[in-house]
Amino acid sequence: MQVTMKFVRTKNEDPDQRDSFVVDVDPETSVFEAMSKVREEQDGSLAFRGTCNTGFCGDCTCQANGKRVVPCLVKVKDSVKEDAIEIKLIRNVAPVKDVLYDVDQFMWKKYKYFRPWLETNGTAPAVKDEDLEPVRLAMRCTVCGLCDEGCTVIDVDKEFLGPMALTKGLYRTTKDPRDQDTKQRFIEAGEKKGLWDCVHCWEASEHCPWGINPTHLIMDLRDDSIALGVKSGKGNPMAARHYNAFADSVKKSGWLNERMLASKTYGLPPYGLSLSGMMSQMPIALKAIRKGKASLRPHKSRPGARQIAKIFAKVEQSHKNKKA
Amino acid sequence: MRYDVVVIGAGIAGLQAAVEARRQGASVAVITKVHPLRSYSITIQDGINAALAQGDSPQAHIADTLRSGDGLNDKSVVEAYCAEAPAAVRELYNLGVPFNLDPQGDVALVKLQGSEQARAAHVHDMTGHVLAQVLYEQALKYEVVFFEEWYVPSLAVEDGVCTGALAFQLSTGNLDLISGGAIVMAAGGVRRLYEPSTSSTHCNADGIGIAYRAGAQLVDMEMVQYHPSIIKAGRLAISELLLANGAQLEGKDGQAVTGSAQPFGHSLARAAAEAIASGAGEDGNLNLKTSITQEQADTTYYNTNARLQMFMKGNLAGDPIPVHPGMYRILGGIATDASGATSVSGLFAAGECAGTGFHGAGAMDGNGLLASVLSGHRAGSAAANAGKASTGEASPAILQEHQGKLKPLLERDAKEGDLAGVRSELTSLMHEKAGLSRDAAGLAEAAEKIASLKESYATMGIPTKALSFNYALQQHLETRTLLAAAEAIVGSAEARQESRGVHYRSDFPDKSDEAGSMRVVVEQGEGGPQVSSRPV
Repeated sequence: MQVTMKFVRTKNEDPDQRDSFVVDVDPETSVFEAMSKVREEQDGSLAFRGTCNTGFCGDCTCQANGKRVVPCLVKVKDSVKEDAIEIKLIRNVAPVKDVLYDVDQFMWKKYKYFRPWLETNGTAPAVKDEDLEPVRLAMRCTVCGLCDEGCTVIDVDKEFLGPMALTKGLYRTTKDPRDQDTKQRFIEAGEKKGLWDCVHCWEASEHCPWGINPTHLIMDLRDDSIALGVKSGKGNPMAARHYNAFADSVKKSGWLNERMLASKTYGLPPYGLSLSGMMSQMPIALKAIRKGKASLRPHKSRPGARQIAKIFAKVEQSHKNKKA
Repeated sequence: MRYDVVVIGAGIAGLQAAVEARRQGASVAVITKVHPLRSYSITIQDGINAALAQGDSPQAHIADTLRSGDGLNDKSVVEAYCAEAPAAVRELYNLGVPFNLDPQGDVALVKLQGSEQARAAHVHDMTGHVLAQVLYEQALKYEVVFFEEWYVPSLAVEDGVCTGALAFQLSTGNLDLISGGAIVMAAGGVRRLYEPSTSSTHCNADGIGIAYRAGAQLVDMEMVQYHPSIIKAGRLAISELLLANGAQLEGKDGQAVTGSAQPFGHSLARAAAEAIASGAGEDGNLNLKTSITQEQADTTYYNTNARLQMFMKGNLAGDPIPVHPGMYRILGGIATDASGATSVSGLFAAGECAGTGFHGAGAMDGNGLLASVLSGHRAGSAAANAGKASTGEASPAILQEHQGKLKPLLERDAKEGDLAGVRSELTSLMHEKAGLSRDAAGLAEAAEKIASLKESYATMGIPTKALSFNYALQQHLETRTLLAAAEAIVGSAEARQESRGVHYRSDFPDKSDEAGSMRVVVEQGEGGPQVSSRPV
């Protein structure tokens, strides 16, 4: 069929560039093949990545007709609208040329931060097959970047190491029973905007084409980190405090104590003391009280708080057992 | 820039070579046109063979490999690789490959086609994907220097010695010279020479074509292996594990299509092509039927099945999958000795572009990844020794010479689509005349056509003058390596006047003792390929 392939060409300096090409393609082949056909037959200056054509290399990620996709995994006939497909850059990236972006900055540098190789002392411990399944899950990742592309934290803070690096760098190594450096990895993961900066919006899990569920893996990593005694990180002390204070409150009273959550998050013992942090929240607190969002009445336990505490105890015990 | 060892290509073989050379104390740079984790190796699904099972032995592995190779294997290489395989797989496990394990906690082994024993270690159906990752992790650990998204058009060869590689930085278009005490060529296969073929837009015979143009001998180039079951969208080869576990090919009326010889996959591919030609197919496809359960489809075959679901809403457990045969890999390549040394001093080769003689005339499933790991290991080790002992550096005049050649190429008038025309003619020509079935007339026609394509190619320029990410320039240079490999394949196939392994001549349908005692060697001559032979 005849398809009009349109490219949104960013940072391309060629004054004669075209952005629309009619190409004859088999509707059963992939959008990536259609893109490649345009580049090979009509305009060799078009810039985009992509090599393997089977969804393994993860290099061709872009937007096709407004959907964020790995285009080699989408058939032409499933993407085309009114005989056209518009290709443009994904979000959260620095453009280099046309649909090609700075992938080193976007992902590889962050991945390398985690020292993604195993540290072993030469002796392999006895391992069961199921112990390695989480490692296989992380290694299934093709680094297509759709998780980081959808990440709402990276959207506002490009420094956040992001779900891809946390999965393929940190989860891959710390879940491997053969690794000997797990605790140090968690310390390092908290030194940057890393493990404690995820806001669990679940976008990463929604976007992953391979069912890897990075958001869930990050929650799992936090549990592992806390179980090893690494409860906070210099990179974002507030995020870790928030996480711990949230759990503390529910564990003690069965529900959320919002005042204490805010106070502990911004700096109250046992999570460190920051007067300036506390003061910075005062205007918001006063406003919340005025509007009736927060009250000054004492925080009471919910009925059933004891049962909730028991659930906590059970989960904590199971973590301890898992660790042992 | 000078390194003791310069590796070209960052798939499994290249990464393994780089890691081994670093372990031996050499300074190492890897030049790769795509990020290492985007290499073709990552798409390989089947396992890696090693005689680890109780009751298995390197001798049994050798026997199976020789049977598959149909008399053309280099026996000493087969013996060495099969003996080293168990230690190599254990080492990969210790480095971090999460191989599937059996209930005792040992590496679980599956029986692939061609093996008499369960011998393939695997990580579900993503063994190559994971091996490449773990070797890349090790390369990072050992601080290998990576030139990522740099493309090598030529080697620097001075007085018969390879002293470095010319390389473009794709992002800037700058041509540079990277000197090496030793060079390891590990730039993969020739998939883009054939249509249909398995995936990948970047297997353009880079390694084979560049080495050939630099004067290296190629060997066994007529040995081109096909895969029986590729799906059209995505060009995905449907896992060898499935064929080993009873998956069947059927025609549209349910007639079974099966292979009868080793290597089984190739023999099945030939039978499938014949069945499709005689009308048993539907839209050029046969149906692949499996007997796996949904649970297996969701675990062991997750990577294959998830892709099938995306491409064609199909499910391996239950649905017939429309597949067709296509070119899969080349078994010959740059002629090497057991250490990986080529006929050019200072140049080593590993992986698919290397003609080690391990596979002979037919590669057994599970031996491909093994060959990449071990040839990489050996070439890395030999190159480290050679590179550390050498003090040579490529002369800057070579860089000037190549820059001089490039300028007129960019200035020449050019038309969009000319290069694509050459490539599309070439790919269908190779499949029809130098594919599953060959004969003297067809090969002669192919040789003539390739010569004329070379002539028209020589007048073609590059329509795009931009420096940054000029794909047209890269495509121009890749077409050159494809044409080089094409003439070497056709010349070698003409010379082998018999049928053996994956090489089938309809005009010589039987094996010949005389031809079977020789390996075909090809070198670049003045007007075309210079074909000779040497004893097996």
